[in-house]
Amino acid sequence: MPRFLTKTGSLQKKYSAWFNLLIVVLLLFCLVFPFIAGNYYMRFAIIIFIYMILSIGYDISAGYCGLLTLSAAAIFGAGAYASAITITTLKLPFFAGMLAAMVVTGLISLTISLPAYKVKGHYLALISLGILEIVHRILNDWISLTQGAAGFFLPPWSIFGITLTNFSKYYVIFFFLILAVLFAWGLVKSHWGRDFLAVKNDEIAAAGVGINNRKFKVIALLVSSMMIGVAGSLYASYSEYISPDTFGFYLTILVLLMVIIGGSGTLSGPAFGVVVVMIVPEFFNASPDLKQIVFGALLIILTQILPGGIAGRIKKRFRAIDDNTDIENVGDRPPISFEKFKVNADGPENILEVSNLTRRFGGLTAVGNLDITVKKGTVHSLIGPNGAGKTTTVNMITGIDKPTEGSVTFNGENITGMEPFLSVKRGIARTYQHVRLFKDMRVIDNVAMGGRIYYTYSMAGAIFHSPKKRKEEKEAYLEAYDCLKLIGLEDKANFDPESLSAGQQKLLEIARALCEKPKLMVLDEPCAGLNETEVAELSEIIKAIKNVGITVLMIEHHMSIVMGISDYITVIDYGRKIAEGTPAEVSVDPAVRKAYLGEEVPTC
Amino acid sequence: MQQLIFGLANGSIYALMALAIGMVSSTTGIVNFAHASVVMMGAMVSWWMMVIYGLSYLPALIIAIVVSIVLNIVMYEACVKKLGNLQHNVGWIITLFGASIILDNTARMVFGTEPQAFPYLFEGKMVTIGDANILLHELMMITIAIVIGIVYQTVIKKTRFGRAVRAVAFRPSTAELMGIKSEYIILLCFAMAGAVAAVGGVLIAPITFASYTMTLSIGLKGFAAAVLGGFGNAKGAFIGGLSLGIIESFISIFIPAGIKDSISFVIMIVVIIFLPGGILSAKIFNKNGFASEKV
Amino acid sequence: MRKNKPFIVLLTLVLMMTLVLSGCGGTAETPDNDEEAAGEVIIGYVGPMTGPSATMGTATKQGAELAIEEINALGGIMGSTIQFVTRDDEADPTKSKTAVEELIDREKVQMMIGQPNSTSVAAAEDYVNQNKIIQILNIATNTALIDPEKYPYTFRTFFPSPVQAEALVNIAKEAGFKNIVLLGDTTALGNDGIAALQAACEAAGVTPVEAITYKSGDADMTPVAEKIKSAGTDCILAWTLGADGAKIVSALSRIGYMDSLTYLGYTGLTLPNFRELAGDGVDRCFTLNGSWSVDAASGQVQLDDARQALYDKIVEKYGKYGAGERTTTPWMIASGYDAIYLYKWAVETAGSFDADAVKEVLETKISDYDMKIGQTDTYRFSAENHEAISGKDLLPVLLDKMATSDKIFGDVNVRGTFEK
Repeated sequence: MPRFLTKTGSLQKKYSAWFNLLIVVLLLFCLVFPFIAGNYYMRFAIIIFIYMILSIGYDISAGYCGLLTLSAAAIFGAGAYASAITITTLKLPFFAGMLAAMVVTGLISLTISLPAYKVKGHYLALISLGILEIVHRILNDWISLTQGAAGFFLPPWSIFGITLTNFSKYYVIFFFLILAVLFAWGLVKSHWGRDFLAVKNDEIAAAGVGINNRKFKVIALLVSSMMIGVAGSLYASYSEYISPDTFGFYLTILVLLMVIIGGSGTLSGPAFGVVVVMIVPEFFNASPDLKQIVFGALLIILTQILPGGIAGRIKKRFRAIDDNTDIENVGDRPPISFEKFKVNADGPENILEVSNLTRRFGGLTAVGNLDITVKKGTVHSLIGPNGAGKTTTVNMITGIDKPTEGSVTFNGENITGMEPFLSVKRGIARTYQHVRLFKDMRVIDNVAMGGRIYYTYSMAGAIFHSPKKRKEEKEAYLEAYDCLKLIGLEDKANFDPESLSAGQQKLLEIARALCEKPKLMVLDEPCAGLNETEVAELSEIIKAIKNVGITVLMIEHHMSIVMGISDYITVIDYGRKIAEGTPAEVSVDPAVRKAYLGEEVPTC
Repeated sequence: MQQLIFGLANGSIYALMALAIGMVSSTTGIVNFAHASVVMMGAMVSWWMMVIYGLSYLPALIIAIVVSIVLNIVMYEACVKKLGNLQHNVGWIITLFGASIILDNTARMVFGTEPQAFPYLFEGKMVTIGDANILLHELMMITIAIVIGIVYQTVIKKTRFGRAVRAVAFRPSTAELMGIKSEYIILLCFAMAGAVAAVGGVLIAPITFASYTMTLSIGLKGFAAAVLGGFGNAKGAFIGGLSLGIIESFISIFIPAGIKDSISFVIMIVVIIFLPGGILSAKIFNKNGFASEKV
Repeated sequence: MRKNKPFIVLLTLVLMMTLVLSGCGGTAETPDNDEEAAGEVIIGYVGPMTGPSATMGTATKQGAELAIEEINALGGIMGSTIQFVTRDDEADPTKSKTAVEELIDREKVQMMIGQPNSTSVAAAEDYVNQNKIIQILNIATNTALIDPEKYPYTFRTFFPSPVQAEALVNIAKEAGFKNIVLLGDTTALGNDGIAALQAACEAAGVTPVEAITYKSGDADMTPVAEKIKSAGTDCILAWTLGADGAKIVSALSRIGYMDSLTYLGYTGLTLPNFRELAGDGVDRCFTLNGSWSVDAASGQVQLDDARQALYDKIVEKYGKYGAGERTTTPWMIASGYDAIYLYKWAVETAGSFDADAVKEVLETKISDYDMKIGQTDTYRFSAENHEAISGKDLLPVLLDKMATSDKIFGDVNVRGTFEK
């Protein structure tokens, strides 16, 4: 069976034996390491392990979900202090401390993510910077709790009453690193990880495939903070001494650097980054002055020349040389046809009713008192000159914009102002005027994102690779593969979407929409930027979509396709409907000829 | 009275920082996280000119302004320009922090770690009003800041350049089509921000002493002031900066020293959450986050 | 979904391990080398060489390097050349601890000059003593750092907090001040200082009006000045660092209150350019200095030959004080210099590098040590006491004269007189 589809690229499958061998060798090496290394290197390795947990955690929110926060050090410190206080002051065991760390960091993440709910970019950076400063002040000034700037001493680390030696500390922390890697692995290799990436890449497209952006941002920050909290509690117990100065802005920058160097939004990236960032200062013992300047320069240079970091670069290279050979051995799938996406015929005859729809931006009325009725199973085109309000109308139908007045009824249900991720679940899929693909995912992942609303496995299931997860993922990817076949891009499955031509990208968006198994498909200028052959191909695909009962609402300027495949046409100008009817009716309508087509009818 | 003057004096520095942050932000939409470091560089360079080369106040200030302008332009070229779409690629947050680290550490290596005395304007003359002793320098801080604010506002509102700035701020690609060189305008805004930074640095240095850490605690408050007043809004920057200064000045008598700084951050966070456009914008944040984005 | 991820994870780990391993290869050999090379003794120093307290860290390093250069030129300690290893801890206790562990485990140091920051010392002191490393604290003042029971190998050649606090309180008490205010920042240093001052006040039967704290490095110190003014203070006992202290003094002058009080600060207040920063208020600022410096009859501070010679060496090697030249204070350099010579003397007296033998010499034969460049002329170590200096050794000195001259043990120091 096509294991590669959900798991690896074909190159990796080819060499999987080597990779497995590598894992075993590495594990063995890490296990025997304390026996061959001195005290110093063992400690060095422990710190590296802790930072790996920290940066892998940070990467979940910053790298995958794109929430660039600057409070990693504060959260790490809060975790360390929470666990230290639990262990020392409350005299509770280590695991209670770790739990306390997770609770406290979780709460802090909420204070960041609730604003992040609304804002992003520099506001998020500023808020988290504020949080960093506030946490730092609390650690310094709440002396009765944290013992202030003098630092906090912990008793020797013991688990279940057994005091750990340096050796056992190494193994305990290594164990936690393995747990963290497995956790992150399970998470990012599931729809959760892809959803985070989708939120980062394009929030509108993410909402368009049914992702509640806000929920996923909160979850990403929560998961990531709790992981950082675990790292903090390990750090406190390992170090037996913590002080507020450790958890300042400098550490935040280091963590940022680790993720940037290694590659944000990748699983192995942070691990790479930690190693580099830990090793570099070793060269500057003689001239500490230069160390920070080098770090600063790395931040500037790497962000620009190596935006994906080391891991990102390797990944890109691999995708570029991936020969997709495995995809041809997909096995004996039944031949695919559009029949698979057939929509049953119940529900009202008028699948979409828009009445009195109005949208005003300040004093400008973009859309005014618009009524449109779309009949089930038809291709309904929306045409009009540039700036006529077509896209605004479609945005209001799909929930991306909220109407000032009026209502939208879909399939008998009032969906006026409904969030896009909810309307997707009711069967509305759409494509965008300017292509919105998830650029950090492969072609096949992009298509599979369309089917994400059908996943039912839980986060726990994702982390433990439950049978349900495996089954659903396999199904989803086989289906996505089928969709790709329908649009003829199956041999590009493992590529980056950016490597496709403009026309192929448009088709890819349609495949993604198709994968949502919609009742209504909204296409916003599907032919823009396509050549004649591609237009012909596309019109065949649209016809096929219509033939299986999916209603199509299309904005298009390309007159031959509009006239060729539309059942009905609505013409709007200045936000108002000026004509409606079959292509034949509309094309002779004097108002249309005057307002839209001009005096001469263009040929294209 | 005394507190009010202190508050206004500090606030005018916050306002100058907010104004400069706003200049950059208005055309590019980015927040210059390295701004505090440029302010510090401005102060350190003019101190260096006065002490090492024995220049007098004004030439030193001019050199500092030139250096700050150059720094800001280099920063734009090195850290921002190549990133492409700044709304989607938030790499600038990282690169600007990188620039800030480089500037701080270079300053430490060049100028040393010890704080240095920086002369007051008017040789530190004081006037007594009621029971308050007020340095002429402090009055000058407030005056200069307000003059800069008014000049900037006039330039933006009245001149051709100002219209270009507003056009670029509104939609760079369209401005480009109208024959405005967006890049040139952005560069000019960076340069102006650099000049304002140097002035701010020179004005605050006698109070904080000149050292490479001098803007450590006031740097973040510049952002807080900018947030408070709304990015890229000269009037807002002043209302934000001055009110922050006054709030701090009055509140710091009553609360423990360590918590004072947190107050401005708490204010900042609350404003971001409830009034992301700043206190001047009556516009309640559109609950639908997509509306502003072109689909 | 990231399909190549497992591969990359692996690659990373491999790389990481290679790097760590390659490092290891080096260490495995180091101990042997050190053991064999009997002609070498390794002295370690960890301190802030970047960050806000870099001056302290750098000064100690300069002093130690100066001493080591001299000693090595004359054949080292008992024929062993001194190798000096330093690490920057950025004044971060955690980094400091890691660095100390590294020096002990990897570099195999035999003696350490303690970190200047008390918190950093506290973080790493256990490990130093577990490994039987002689540690001499030359700047850190925290009380708890010295405890012959708990830290048998740690000695201090500087005024610890309680000694300074005791001296400050007694000076204020004798001068007859009524409204004494304690002042300190919110860092560990300030907390420790205020605690020590409060303890000393209690012991002396003095009741301070108030203890005022401020945030170190704050731009605007006028709120602090206002608080001092509204408390009706006539004497401040200040645990403030130079820059903060200067800022507070200038703020006090601003609100016109400096003339009504005396500012008595602990030794951290000394800063070479204090007058420039603080303005005229400096005339009412005092700090503490060792009693050697003050001529009992005239109140004049005299620089004796040893100290003058050292001062000349410092100027020769590191330049005059000033922007673009040396920014470190001479007494800090001297204390680093002295720490090395103290160790050399103890080793040579013991005839062995063995830590226990050195410790015993320091505890029992310290009166024979005649390197008179430290904070006092007599060190008072004993088996029960690892503090070199007691409160009796300290006198108040007008800060201005000390500070502007760049000669903390310089020739123009004048003993201050209090006027009320």
